[in-house]
Amino acid sequence: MSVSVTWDQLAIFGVLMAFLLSALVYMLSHIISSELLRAWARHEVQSLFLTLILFASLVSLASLDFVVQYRNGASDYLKMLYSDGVYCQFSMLDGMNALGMLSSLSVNINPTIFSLKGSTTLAGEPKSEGEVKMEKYTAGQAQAGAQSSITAGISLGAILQPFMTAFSDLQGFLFIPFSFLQFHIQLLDIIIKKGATLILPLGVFLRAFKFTRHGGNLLIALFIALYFILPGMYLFNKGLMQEKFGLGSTDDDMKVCENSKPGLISEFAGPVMSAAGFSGFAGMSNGPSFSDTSTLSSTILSKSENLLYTSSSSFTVVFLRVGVESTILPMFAIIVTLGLAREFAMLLGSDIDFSQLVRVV
Amino acid sequence: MKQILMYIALALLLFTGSAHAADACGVVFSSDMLSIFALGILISVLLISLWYMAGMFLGSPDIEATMKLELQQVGLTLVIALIIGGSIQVLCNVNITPEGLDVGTKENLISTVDKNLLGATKTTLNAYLDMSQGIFDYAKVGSIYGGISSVGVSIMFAPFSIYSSVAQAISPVTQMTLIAYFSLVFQYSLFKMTQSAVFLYLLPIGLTLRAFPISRKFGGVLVAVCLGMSFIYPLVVSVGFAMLDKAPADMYRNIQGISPDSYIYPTSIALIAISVATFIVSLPVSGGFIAAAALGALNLGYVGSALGIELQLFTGVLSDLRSVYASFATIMILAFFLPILEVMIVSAIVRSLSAAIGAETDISGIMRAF
Repeated sequence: MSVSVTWDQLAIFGVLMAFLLSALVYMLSHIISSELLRAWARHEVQSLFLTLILFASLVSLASLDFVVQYRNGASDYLKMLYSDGVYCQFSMLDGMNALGMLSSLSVNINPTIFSLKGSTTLAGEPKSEGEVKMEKYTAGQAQAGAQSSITAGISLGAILQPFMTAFSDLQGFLFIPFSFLQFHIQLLDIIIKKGATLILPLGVFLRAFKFTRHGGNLLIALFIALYFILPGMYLFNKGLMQEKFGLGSTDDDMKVCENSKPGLISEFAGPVMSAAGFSGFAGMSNGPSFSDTSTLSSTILSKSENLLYTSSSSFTVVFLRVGVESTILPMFAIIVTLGLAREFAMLLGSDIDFSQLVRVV
Repeated sequence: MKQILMYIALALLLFTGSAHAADACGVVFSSDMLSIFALGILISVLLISLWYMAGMFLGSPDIEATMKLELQQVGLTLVIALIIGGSIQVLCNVNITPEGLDVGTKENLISTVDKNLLGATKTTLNAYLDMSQGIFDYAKVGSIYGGISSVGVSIMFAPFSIYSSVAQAISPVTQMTLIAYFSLVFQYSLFKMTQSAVFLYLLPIGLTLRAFPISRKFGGVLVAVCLGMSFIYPLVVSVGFAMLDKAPADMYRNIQGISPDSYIYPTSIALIAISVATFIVSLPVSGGFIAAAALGALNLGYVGSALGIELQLFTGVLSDLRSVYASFATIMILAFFLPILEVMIVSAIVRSLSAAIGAETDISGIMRAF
């Protein structure tokens, strides 16, 4: 026969058990006339009352509409941030795709071609004896050329390599913001789903008993910090980015990369390639056409400035989104939250060192 | 009064014996362990009696009072042993679910944790292998190149070079996944070690040591560490899995990679067609073979990028990157975040337990090792 107990029931059961245990100890203290045990039992009962008050207060607070909307808002913000961040990465890949294709172009010339000059005649045309000798000679030269040839070539990669290297290196680091953002999303999801239904009741159960009180305090402190403080920190980050850097006033406006892809091709590569002399072809070139290649350097500079600062989805904006908003600010949020969790734990009577957890985060 | 105390002690000893002889989480406490404990208790009582007798002969009320307290401690050790024996039986018949506890089920706590940890370890290894395969696939496609070569002039072109960068984006996640795998293997090994009969010997040895005044503190620490590692740690790990609400097998989404049929073959044909068409059209205008070929290849680059987005780059790569990041975040929670949290909770409980049973011990050194 098995009995199923929910986490809330377990918490109540634990507190009742602890009350009974304290009563038993109190009775025993009278039998053996131990003042020490009597004081212990009294202290335990006080602590249990505090635990019950804490449990009731936190459960009530967690179920308030305001709190529900507040943490759902934080969760939606993180999901939007992640989605848009991956769009930023994809936009970079998109730009790299075109640059990669262009930089992979290489033209090679084999000088052996000159040994074949004049050897071609029209089919059916009669050949003189000299021409036949010449043909044999040329064929011999061509064979020799095929055995040992000199090749010269040029590639567009030379122009585009610095950009390609920068983007390519960046790809290796982008897993940090996005993996950690996903970590935050999943952590918040766990807290929303299991915070009030598992972590808090388990913490209350453990706190009810003297032997496991430290562990219980730790869980309750973590619950308070992660359930109430962490979503607030995410919303603080959102407000900061909206107010200070103008990344949109609504959630839809904030999707900078999804709404307007970083203009690597339209705003940079196209004009630069045109300035390099490759203008007027079909495709995606929207930039101006320059016949004078001396303007190449000035074009690169002006377009770089546009790409870096001024466009709606410039690199500065993308960096703010990927580097600051997706990496530094969530890390700041979790460090502040765990710091406060430590304070809460100390307030509840635990002295657990959270520094290990902070280091992992 | 003394007779009553002796009877109580004897009854507790018998209860303890019956509890410890039973199967606890699949580990049977051997009769040797029980004998060690019983012998220790008896020797301790004997020594206390001798010392008490000496106190009586010497007429020292201090010694008598001290020995009474020592006898109480021996009784307390027996009570602790009884509580531990009972608690272990309860703990081992508990199954933790996301909804709560199932008490008295056939599903053993230890076997559930074993299955979950092993499952997580295997899934992480599969994730590593799948990501490695993904890197290989993307890099392989990225290395494809083609071109036109005629009468000494050749134009080479790598239309899918972007996929090398995708491989580069997945590569560090793969390395971290391997570290996560080792972390999970360590946890699994630690768990198996704490479930071994040899490690569980520490429990009766600790209880025995606790019965003697000289080794009481150390005995308490030993009991707390053994209980914490062997029984509370699996319980907390099980709660961790319940928090995740996700079976280990479901925590990784495979990389789909690039389909040759839906992307590479049609894209290649389209690119060649564009290139050749541009070459033919621009040959009379540009005035030379090389210039016309360069125009063809350049147009190939422009249009090819658009084709890449339309056909596969958008849906395939975006989906794969999302899969990799989401899966790795779950692995990170399971392999790094939760274990540290679990060790913190267990160490807190061990600390309280050891303080209550013997002496407070700071196991921060072990924490650092974790």
